Amino acid sequence: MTSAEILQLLITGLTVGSIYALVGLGFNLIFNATDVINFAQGEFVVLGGILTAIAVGTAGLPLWLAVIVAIVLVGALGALIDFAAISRVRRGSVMTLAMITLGLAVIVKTSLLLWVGPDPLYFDPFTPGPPIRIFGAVLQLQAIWVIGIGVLVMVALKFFFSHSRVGREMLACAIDREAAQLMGINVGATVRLSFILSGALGGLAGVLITPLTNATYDQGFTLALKGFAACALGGFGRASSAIVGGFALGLIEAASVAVLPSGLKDSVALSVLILALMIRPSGLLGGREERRHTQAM
Amino acid sequence: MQGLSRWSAGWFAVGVVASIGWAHAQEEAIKLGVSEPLSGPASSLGIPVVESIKTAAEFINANGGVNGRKIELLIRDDQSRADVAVQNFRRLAEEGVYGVIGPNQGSNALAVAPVLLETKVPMCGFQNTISITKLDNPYIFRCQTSDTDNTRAALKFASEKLGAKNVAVLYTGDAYGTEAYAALEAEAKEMNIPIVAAEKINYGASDTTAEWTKVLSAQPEAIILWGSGSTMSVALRNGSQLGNTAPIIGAQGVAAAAIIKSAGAAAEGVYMVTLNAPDQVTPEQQELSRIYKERHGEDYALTIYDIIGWDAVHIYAEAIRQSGGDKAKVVEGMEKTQGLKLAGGSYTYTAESHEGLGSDSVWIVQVKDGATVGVQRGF
Repeated sequence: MTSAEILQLLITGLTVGSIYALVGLGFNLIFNATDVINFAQGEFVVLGGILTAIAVGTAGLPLWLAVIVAIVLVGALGALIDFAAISRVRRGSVMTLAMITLGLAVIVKTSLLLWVGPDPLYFDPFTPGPPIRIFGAVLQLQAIWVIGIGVLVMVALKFFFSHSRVGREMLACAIDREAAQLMGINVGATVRLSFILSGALGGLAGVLITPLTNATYDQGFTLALKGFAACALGGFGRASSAIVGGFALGLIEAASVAVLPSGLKDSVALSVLILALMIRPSGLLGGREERRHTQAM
Repeated sequence: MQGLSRWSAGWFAVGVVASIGWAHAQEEAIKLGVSEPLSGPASSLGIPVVESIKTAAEFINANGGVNGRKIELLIRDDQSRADVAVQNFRRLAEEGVYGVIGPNQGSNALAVAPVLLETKVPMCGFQNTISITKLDNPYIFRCQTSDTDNTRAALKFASEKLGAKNVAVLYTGDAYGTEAYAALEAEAKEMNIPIVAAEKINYGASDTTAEWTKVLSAQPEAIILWGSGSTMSVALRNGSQLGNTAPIIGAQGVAAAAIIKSAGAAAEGVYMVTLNAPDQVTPEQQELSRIYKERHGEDYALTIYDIIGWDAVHIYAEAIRQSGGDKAKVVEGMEKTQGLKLAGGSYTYTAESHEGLGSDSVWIVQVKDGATVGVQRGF
């Protein structure tokens, strides 16, 4: 392999990794407030892409307006899910809640199939033009958007959880719901907010990645799996860990293609995940579990 | 006197009714089963196929039926699921069908194969997948081109028309892609065309840049892309983003309107191995084209789905004619099909080969301004 090809695989790894990271960030938001893994996160992403494609293509809205509409609508779906299902069983165990989100994922997926059909939807990248060439390797303009906004969102979330009152309340809810309630935190509203933010973030991810990946009704599960793996690799509960885990997973996949048959890409990536978690169960950066114990001590 | 005539008129009427009933019993309709995906992920393939099946049955019935008997379709939705397809095939056999048209997906065809052996009812399948006619199952007939022919056509076109001295292959990891790759490998060896790179893409993958990078590093003179679904349009875009200039030859799964549309400019100039060229209506397609234009407007161009459904009904009709309307002899009748010219090409089935179409039916088309245009037919 020439150095240009190695650089190309590196860029591919970062591009794909940023997609995983964006999906992973959404997982983290709900996890931070409820301890629940939201299995409908992938569907949020797909819905964001499909809504934008329809708003741009069929309804003829300008892209910026379509993006806002899509993000707001998916955020509203997050609120609806919490209002109609999650908040009704707030006393249920984490497992019960996770199963509910799994059921909701199936409902969203089937509805999308009935509504838009099985064909892929697509809209043009935000910035038209040929990709940038760096020493013979190619960087797609849309990838810069994905990586750039991904990092911006991560910084914003980090600030939100460490410095804002609402963010800290959200963390408190997950660590100990009853204690948070006793301290005067409105747990219901905080959880509702986490679903809205998570939906909006998923919608944003879908908007950003559709020009690269298409939006197809059944893509949610694969996206969610990779986003989940990114979170697990980085360590659940931190915004930065989804980013680090996402990039790590993307780079591992790209590296595996360089040396092994490409059909093994997914298996290699997930095997590395299992290995990493056996050595560091709380993820590369250490998840919230670890921090919680140190705080307790 | 008046009373008598009323009586005789009454008896006459009874006689007429009885004789119509008698004639009707003799000309009982021929039942054909249809098990296609009308819902679920494969429904975009099943719905147009069923429309064309209905069109063919109406056409045959309006033109005197089969040996004077009408065709009655029993249409069942398999929901794109293998278990439902199996149920459908059992039920249809119990309802006394002469044969079944469908299923659409390769995996469902493999699932219903044992049922066919049990019920002794033949099926007409729409798969390109090579293995469906290699199961040693006398009841499976292929009503499509085989990827054995399609892969050969792709290689021949690359070497003879495009002058490529070597090729690279990108294929999906499902049965459709891997079987085609095995066929390509064997054929390329025979034709002495080196395959300089071959990369497997996971079905449903959302990025193929890494695979492309590896393929392009081998500097192939032509690239063969074999797969189906949304990933194919991503693959076309990734190839053009990475600055690929080698010509691409795609499988029938790449030649879908939705994929060409979402690949946009990246699909321009791409060649595809498929069953028809929408811009060139053959004499056998004229009747079908006329009916569809009446229905959908003058600009309507026939798709593969319009063709295969129409052909399947006609194949059964001919086989039932050959077997003298005897349900037990439909398979024998099918195997007497010799050079039956229909919309998709010339169909021949024998006891040894259930392939139907040959390499003369394979079209190479090219994408121009978002539409496919015929380049070459037959190999």
